[in-house]
Amino acid sequence: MFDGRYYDGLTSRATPVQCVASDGTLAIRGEGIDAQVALGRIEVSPRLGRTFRTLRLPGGAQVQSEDNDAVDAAFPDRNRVETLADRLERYPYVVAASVVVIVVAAIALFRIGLPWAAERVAMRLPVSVEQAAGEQVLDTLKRFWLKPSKIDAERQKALQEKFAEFAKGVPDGENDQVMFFNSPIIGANAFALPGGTIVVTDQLLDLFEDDDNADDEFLAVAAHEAGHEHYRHVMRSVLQGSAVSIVAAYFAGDVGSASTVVIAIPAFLLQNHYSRGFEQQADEFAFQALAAHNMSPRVFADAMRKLQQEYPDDDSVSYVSTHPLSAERIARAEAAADAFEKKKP
Amino acid sequence: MNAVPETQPAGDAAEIRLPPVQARPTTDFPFEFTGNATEYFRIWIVNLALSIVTLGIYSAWAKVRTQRYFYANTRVAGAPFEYLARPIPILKGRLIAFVLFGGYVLSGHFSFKVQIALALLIAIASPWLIVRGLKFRARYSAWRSINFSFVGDYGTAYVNYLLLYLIVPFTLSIYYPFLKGRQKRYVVDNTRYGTQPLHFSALNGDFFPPYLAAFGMFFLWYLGMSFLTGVLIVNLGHSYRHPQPGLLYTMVGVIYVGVFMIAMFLSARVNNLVYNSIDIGGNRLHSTLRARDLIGLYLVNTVAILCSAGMLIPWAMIRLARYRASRLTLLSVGNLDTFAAAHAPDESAAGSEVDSVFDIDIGF
Repeated sequence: MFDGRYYDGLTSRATPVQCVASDGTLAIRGEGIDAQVALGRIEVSPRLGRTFRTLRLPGGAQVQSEDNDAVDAAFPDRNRVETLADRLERYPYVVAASVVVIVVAAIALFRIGLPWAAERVAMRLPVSVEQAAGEQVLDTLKRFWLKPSKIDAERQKALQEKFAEFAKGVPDGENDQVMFFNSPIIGANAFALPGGTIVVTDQLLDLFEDDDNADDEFLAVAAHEAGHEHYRHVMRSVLQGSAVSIVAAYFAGDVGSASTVVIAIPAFLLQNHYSRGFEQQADEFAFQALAAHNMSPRVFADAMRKLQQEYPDDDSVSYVSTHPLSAERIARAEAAADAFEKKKP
Repeated sequence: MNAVPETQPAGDAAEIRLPPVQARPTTDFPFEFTGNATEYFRIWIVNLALSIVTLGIYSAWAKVRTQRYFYANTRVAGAPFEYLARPIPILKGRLIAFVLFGGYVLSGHFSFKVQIALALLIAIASPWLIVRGLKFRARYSAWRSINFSFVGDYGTAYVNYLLLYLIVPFTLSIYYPFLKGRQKRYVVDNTRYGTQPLHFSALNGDFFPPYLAAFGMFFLWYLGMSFLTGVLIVNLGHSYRHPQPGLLYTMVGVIYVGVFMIAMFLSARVNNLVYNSIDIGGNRLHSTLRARDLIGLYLVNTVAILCSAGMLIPWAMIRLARYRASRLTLLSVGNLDTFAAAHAPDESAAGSEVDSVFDIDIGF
């Protein structure tokens, strides 16, 4: 037996009723109401916490009741999916297991699933699509950050030819080309755009200029960027970033207008994590490319050291901090150089 | 089904003293929210885990359980609200929304033109989506067994949600608050509770003061902070070789916090205006949201969510629902028993799901 509110399906008037289930029928009794309805013809809303249940009677009338246990006893085996969910919600160890499932799934998704999927997509993307994207980015950069280079044309041409020669033996190198721009705002920097364009700033060349192995250092940095090109790192970061925002947007829908910060911080951290892995991969690529041209990876360490001197670690817009852990990278370059020189006869 | 006042013994006395508009005596029924964070946490975490394990399919059931929980725990005049939508139509709607949103986000990285085309397409479809969403949400919301419904037509929706936006720039945006008023009127006037149409009593011009105040605050705040940033850069940044990005980030953060507070002020004022202008067969609502409460709530919620790696999201949602309910009152003229049910056809969830996913996009 349970108490409920009866609605006749025509008006908003509630009548208190008492319901008794027996012999396959539900007897509903209250002021002016005396009904017998077959249990099988009543539709019952699924159990959810302490909230009320609605018993929909044929013909549009309904009974609402807060007595969940009695309703369940009268209507066993209804709403299988929701009944299971309700059981799960009530067991503490299931709640604990859910936390584990969520943490494991999140780690698997962000560390394995998304990078894997992004790589698959990026590697299969036609070069023309990447080039179109690269041009678009370059146009935007030219509008705000990159000015025409002040390096004299002959020097530019010489370096471009040197790189072209170098790139011939490098995987995917035939698609790569170097462009020079003056950018006091960005400072000494180089970056790979989708589609094979490598942007090098005048400021970076100036940094190497007073040195007798300036061209080799330039090639070392360009080889690192060629690594980003070969592995499609820009496209992969973008794809991973988009996926992170789609997933984050899905959950943020629950949180309301405070969501921007809630999304932005984890998304930023994930992006940073991805880029570190990519930097290391591009470094390894550069070491191999240099060794293949019979150049010691030590020039890469030299170039990195100059950048580190120019931009101490606390300055957060510099090349060094967007390419983090420079000390560690220099050490790895030195190790690669030692290995290279040992192998040499 | 004419109204017969069921309460208010002091009716006669009130009639003598008050002006004629207020002559109908009313009883106050405060809204209350009875959900609790522990109980909802369990529902939320199981929802999330099952959604993950089923690769998102369960998310439609999860949405229904979430909505039902919040509706059923919101009560007024002794009766809870009820959410009636079924999971399967929501699942279909979600699939459509997911494909569209994914396509939109990804296309932006490959071709600007494709993304612009998609954005235009979504803009052109948006009034239609808004109407579908309103129809869905109203159709599957009920109180005291009576469904709501939305009967707005697409033509008016296209005028209010697309065409009139085109003239806003030519009025130096002065028309914008009036347009907001028009949109709220369209939504309220076309909503029915059973057979009873809702009526919107505010004028479009009533929306002007809150927006003007918010714009003024934003203007002064932005001007002041830009000036302060300039002064700080000149005084602090001069001795360094490179501009101090830490300072810039801090100032952008400070400006953002101010904008957030102004947005909360506007949200509280506009929400109150809309709720206080709704008339349901003589019954009124009285909303008293306060900007400072909302700011406090959202700030604490954001910090709690970040510090708990998301585990306090349910707690944050419950707090917000409890606050909103606590500031809303139904002023009844005593006819709450007399609303009549109307025939209601089923509605598809595609519009409401697409609509909600792109709302999130705008939220970025």
